Amino acid sequence: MKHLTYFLLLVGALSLSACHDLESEPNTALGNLRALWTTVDEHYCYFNEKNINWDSIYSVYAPRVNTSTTATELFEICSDMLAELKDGHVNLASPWETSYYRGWWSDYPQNYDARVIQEHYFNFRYHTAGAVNYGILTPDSVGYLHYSTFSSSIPEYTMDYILLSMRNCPGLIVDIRDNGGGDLTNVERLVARFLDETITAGYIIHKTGKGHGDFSSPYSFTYSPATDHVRWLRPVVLLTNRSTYSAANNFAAIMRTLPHVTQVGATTGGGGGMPFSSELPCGWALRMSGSPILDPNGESTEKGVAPHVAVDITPYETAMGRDPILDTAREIIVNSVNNKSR
Amino acid sequence: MNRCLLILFIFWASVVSAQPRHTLSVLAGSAHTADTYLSPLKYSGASTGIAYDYKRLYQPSMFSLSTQLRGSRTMNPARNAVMWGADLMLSSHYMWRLPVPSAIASVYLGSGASIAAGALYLPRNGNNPVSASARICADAAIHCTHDISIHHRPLTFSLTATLPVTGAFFRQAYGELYYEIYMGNHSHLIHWAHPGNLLAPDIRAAVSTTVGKIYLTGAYTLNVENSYSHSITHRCIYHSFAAGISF
Repeated sequence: MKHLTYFLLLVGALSLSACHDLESEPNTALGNLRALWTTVDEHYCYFNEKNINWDSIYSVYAPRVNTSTTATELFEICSDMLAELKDGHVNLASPWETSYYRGWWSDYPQNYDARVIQEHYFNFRYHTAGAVNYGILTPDSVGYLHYSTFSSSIPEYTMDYILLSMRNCPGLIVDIRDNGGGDLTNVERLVARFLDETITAGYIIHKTGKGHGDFSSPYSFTYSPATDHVRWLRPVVLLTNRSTYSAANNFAAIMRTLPHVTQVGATTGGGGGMPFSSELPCGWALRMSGSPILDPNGESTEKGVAPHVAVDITPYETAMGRDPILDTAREIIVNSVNNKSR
Repeated sequence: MNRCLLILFIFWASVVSAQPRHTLSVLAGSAHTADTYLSPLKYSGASTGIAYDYKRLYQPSMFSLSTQLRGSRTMNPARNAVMWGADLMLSSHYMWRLPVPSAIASVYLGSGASIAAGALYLPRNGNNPVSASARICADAAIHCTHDISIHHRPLTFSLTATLPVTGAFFRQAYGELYYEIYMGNHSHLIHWAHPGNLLAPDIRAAVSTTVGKIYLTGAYTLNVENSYSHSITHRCIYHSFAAGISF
């Protein structure tokens, strides 16, 4: 009986030790602000790169919260605090609103108007397949493909068809302006269409602890050619603007390193960190950059990927139905063909 | 070759002829889950599952085999997010009887191995919606039974507890997304398990009796999966009531 008693005591002690409390903030206005600050403090990955003093930011915003702060007021305060990170991947979602930092694109010219291309370059005679609009520009027979979001995958057979339909084109324009990102697996599938050999596509880093400098060693990852599908190894011009973001930013960072690709337009919007999600005691969902992805040269792309040829579009040019970024891309392809034929 | 077959046949025959005790149970109860990789909040809700137990006495020893499949649905304190859980556990133990007078209880103490795998899924998280867990461990195990009779009805009370002592378990790094693992980075995923970073007691208190020709079992079970590594706390606590039949 003594053995049984000892055993029961042992089991009880172990059960109690397994139930030690997890630290959590109370579901009050200040508790939620503290939880938000702490979660970002422990998971956000760009404090050092952006030289942000997160402690001082807390001291600015915490005094704005008191026991009479309403939920909507708290949301505004939290949103303003998160905006200090100047990061489009940072959002706070309440039942009535999701906060966004828009400065990463709103402070720059848009450099893209879909209607200008659809009307003045294609006379609305272009093709649509999911998130892709494509066609052949005349009279130079340059292929054009606009991919609006990496959240939507292009089926392999669709991409095969699109590239085959452009088999007589001297070059291809891949337009990812206003592409806000999506799935990195779709980035890999599309990049694979332009590869002749396996490449180092970038490096990924993750946080190893709660400190602002606790990072793993960069892990290199590779992309391989889509050898079972139609590939495009002729000249490619990649069009980007400031609203080219997140996964599209990663796509640009990889594509621009390929020898037959020229990037034209504006510096992309960045968003080089894969988001990490969490939540607050009141149930609001939180998202922030958590794992930086570096370009094939090991450089951060959080501040965007600069083009080989920088071109901006003025409102006057847009009003006149011209897209100088697209025009520059056509010139580059036509010139490359002419240079080869000489 | 023939000798091997003969040995296998003798082993199989001995097992089959030993009147094994199989128990099939249905479990239902509460679930308390927390995984700081997914959320700093504690979730609570319900769980359900099925279990199969096999016990065979080889006086003075005992062999046991247990499997358990469970699902859970828990919600955060604000009740606006659901976390789903599923896990499968398989364990096998061999125990020896301790010199405790039969009038008090039959007590068996031993060891064995357990394998468990599962995942918590929080759909609201975009890139980190899943926290997977897996372990293979050497366990300590104890089994006590006590037989009484109430109104000429035989009742068997039993208490079984197992505790992983050492082994290995899977856990991604602090902020590591599964995409990175998918891309091929498999370093630092397997950890040496010890009571300081993995505590997973499995306790079952049961009472069994016969009703006609049917052997019925009712039980309370406590299952805990608690691990800590890479500054991530993963914890699932299940309190369940089980009803089963033995044959």
